[in-house]
Amino acid sequence: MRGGLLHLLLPVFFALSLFLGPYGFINPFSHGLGAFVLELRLLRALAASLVGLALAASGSGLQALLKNPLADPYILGVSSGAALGVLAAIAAGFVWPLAVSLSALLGGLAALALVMAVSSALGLTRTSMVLAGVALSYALSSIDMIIMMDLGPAVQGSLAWMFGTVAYALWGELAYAAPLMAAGAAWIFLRAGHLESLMLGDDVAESMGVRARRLRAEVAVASALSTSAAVAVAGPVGFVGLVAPWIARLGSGGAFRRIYPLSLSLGASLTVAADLASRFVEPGGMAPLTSITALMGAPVLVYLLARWRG
Amino acid sequence: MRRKASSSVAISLIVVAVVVAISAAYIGHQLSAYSAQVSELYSAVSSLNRTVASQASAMSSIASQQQSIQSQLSSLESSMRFPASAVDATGQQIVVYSEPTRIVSLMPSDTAILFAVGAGPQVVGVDEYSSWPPCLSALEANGTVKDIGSGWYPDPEVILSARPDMVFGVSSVPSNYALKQQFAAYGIPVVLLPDNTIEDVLQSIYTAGRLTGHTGTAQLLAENVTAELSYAEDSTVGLNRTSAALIVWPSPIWVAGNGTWEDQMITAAGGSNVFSNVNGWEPVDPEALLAARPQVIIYTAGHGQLNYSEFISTLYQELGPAADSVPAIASGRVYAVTGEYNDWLTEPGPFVGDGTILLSVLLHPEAYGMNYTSIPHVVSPDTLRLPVPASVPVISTPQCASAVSSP
Amino acid sequence: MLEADSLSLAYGGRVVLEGLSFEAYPGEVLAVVGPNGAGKTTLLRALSGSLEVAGGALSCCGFSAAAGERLGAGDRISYAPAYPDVDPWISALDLVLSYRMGPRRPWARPSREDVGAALESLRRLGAAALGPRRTSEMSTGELKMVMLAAALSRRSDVLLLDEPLAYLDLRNQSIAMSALRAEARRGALVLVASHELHLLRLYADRVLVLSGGRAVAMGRVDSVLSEGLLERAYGVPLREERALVPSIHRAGGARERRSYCNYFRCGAPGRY
Repeated sequence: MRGGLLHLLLPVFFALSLFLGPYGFINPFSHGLGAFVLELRLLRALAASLVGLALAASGSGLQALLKNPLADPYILGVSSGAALGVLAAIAAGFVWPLAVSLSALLGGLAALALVMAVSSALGLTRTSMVLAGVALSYALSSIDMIIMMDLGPAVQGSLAWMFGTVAYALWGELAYAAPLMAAGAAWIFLRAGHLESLMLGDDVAESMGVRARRLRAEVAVASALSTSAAVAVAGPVGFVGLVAPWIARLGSGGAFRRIYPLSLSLGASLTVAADLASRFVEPGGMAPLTSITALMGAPVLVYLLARWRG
Repeated sequence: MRRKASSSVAISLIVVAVVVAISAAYIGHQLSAYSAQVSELYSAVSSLNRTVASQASAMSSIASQQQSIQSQLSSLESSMRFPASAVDATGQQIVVYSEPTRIVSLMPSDTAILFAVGAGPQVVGVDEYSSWPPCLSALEANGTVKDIGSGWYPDPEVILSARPDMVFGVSSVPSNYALKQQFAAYGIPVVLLPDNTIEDVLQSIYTAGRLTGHTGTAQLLAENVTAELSYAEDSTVGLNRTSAALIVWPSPIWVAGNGTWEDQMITAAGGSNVFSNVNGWEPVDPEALLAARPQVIIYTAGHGQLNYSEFISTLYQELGPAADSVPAIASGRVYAVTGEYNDWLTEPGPFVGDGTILLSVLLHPEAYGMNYTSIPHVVSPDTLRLPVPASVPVISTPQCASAVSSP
Repeated sequence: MLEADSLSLAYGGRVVLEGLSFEAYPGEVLAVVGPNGAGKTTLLRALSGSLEVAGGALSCCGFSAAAGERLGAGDRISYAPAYPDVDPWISALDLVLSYRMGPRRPWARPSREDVGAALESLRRLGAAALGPRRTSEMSTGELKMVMLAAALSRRSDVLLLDEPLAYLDLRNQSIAMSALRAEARRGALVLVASHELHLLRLYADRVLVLSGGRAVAMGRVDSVLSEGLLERAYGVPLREERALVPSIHRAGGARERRSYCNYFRCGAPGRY
């Protein structure tokens, strides 16, 4: 019952996001510049919702799959790969937003392909996936640093991307990224029963007909799809993918099938709220979405943990 | 006799009467002539009044005709200036149909160029780092110009709350591209000016002038900049190139390398950049500075953040006692450039010519009849006057007009 | 109903069992015993469908598997592992419900009937109080009772239980054994792998003894389990360690000797 109420957060924050901003309150029926700013706010709120949803889906799926409560969407190296794609594009001179976001998407998927290839050779076990992902993340991050040093002043512009923002979202980006995010999240939903059985133990799940190896491959690909698309739109927004499943788990309780939709909704709410806050924390500049989601999400998580303990 | 007396009386009476009558007639005639004259005069005066009045109205009608001719001329002029089109650094052609009256600038270099081509009165928003021209702070204080925050990570809503009809960014910042595409949906052109080399500066001056309706001023400015560059080159022609390092940040040591306007300015000023093997602005090892052995070190010290003695002690910390082996340090030819002179070097703006002349003075003081020992370590407009003749057009700092149009 | 025909199983590249042939029927409790590593768990995993058959054939409840295949009997089989490896954040009730609902239907929500059945299953094993508790807050024994309740909640035709009595205290062992017998009475086939040899006669009907990769004995608990067999199967001199298996007194007759001497090298009669 309480979980149902938490779903209400999304429409509330979405509506606030349309009405509040440095431009002021906008009459929905106005024309001209006000209408344009309203459209930009709508675009931002939509992008934030989708990104939060996609990252929460990916985080939930990976936490269940890897049986690791600290798993986040980037544990398989997707964000480092996306960053490499973006930096390579900027260094090569492809600075148009669509080119940048496509490079992020391709970079993330390529990183996953590499991790899956390495992990496959090692039996596609949970451990091999995590180790391959972490190793690739470190390797790619160091390459990213080298490229960033070489970029000179443009590095400041790429830093904006690194911290995550939906302020520069475009309808064209959403047009191609939204289906990918939705597809990844839906795919994980279709496997929700399998993931829930996985929580009973690998051998128990196998006895119920769950092919663990195949499930790992599927969920990894689905999660990388939605994560890469989210990173393509907003850059690597951290913390949402880690904390939304946790708030769902602690706030509502229950097994995977029950908390998955709630974690999607909470992920979207958190990101929209963070985007809204970022307009006021540093008006005119850019407050990184990652920091704000962390600042907002961490106290909630600590509170829930404390209440659960007590 | 009585008859004689009365007839003489009668005759004298008649004579008198005739005389009186004649006099009266004469006087009457004169009077009427006078009165006719007076009324003539009167009508002449009133007709003169009328003439004056009609002349005045003719003058005022001439004046208003003159005004309408003037406004026709200016609208003709602006119809000659607009619609204007130019290609920005992204290769996109931008067409402007009327004079932009609410311009927002996202970068200090754009702000400087806009004010220098005379578009200052049309600027209503600048980024937080824009500092040239110096009167900008007064404009921001009285609300004429709005601070729209960061140009590196611009907030679309804050920019739009200034209700711009044109935005100027630069082509080297990726977020500006996103802004360009976003604002295109509403028809606000975002002009991305190139900002890497001296040629970029000249191109930007031309583009900015064209799109804001100041082609003539822009042309003049570009010619002035070119003239200054030529002056610096001619002053130092034939002299051995002085090796120089231009340091933009002391710790770690960031230098300006190949492909930057600072590099080009050093070359034009008769020097050679010891770090031309480096691409763009990059950090280098202290050992690289030791190995490069520059004869002159120029440090752009901002507007007073880090001073000369701190800079020198930082260098000694990083290089150790080997610092004394660097020719620039040993000979004392280390200069911290501050104040407006700093902007001349650090921004790809309309003062690159002035900056080049400044560099030529630091690199080849002998070309100007100076000894390098007479150049102070802290170089600012207060401590060093540029020894240029009046024929060389040094940039004049624009005055900021207070006129601004309503949204 | 359950039939193995020259079954061989391999695990980790090693052949664990070969030439295994036996049958089991609904309504009985069949215990599988043998030394550590003899293949009890491997056999159970193959029967549960999480391990491929390496050779021979295996069939159960209308499904069969030949070499290279897995036995996919689905809902007909419920498996409970020896050491539960479950998510620490779910409650016992959620565990039983998840088990009961299985992996299909991602949108499934537990119905009232599901919840009732789950609670009933927990209650039958005396674990109703554990319902709302998180699995991380339970002892291993309590968790095993919950797993057993989960396996029983499906009321499947075949129950495969690996070491169901391990970690349990005296009372819980008694409850568990009663529950196993009750399942057999219901008509299920209950296969139990166990080390608790002294308890077998309390709940098991037949026993299958595995040793050295083969079945060395199968039959009623009373008749099969003798000192001689156990000595050879486990490699333990029972004469000196009689206290290890307190309920096994029988030294074993000639007929039993003949049967297990097929598998072990026996010395002169009377010598063990």
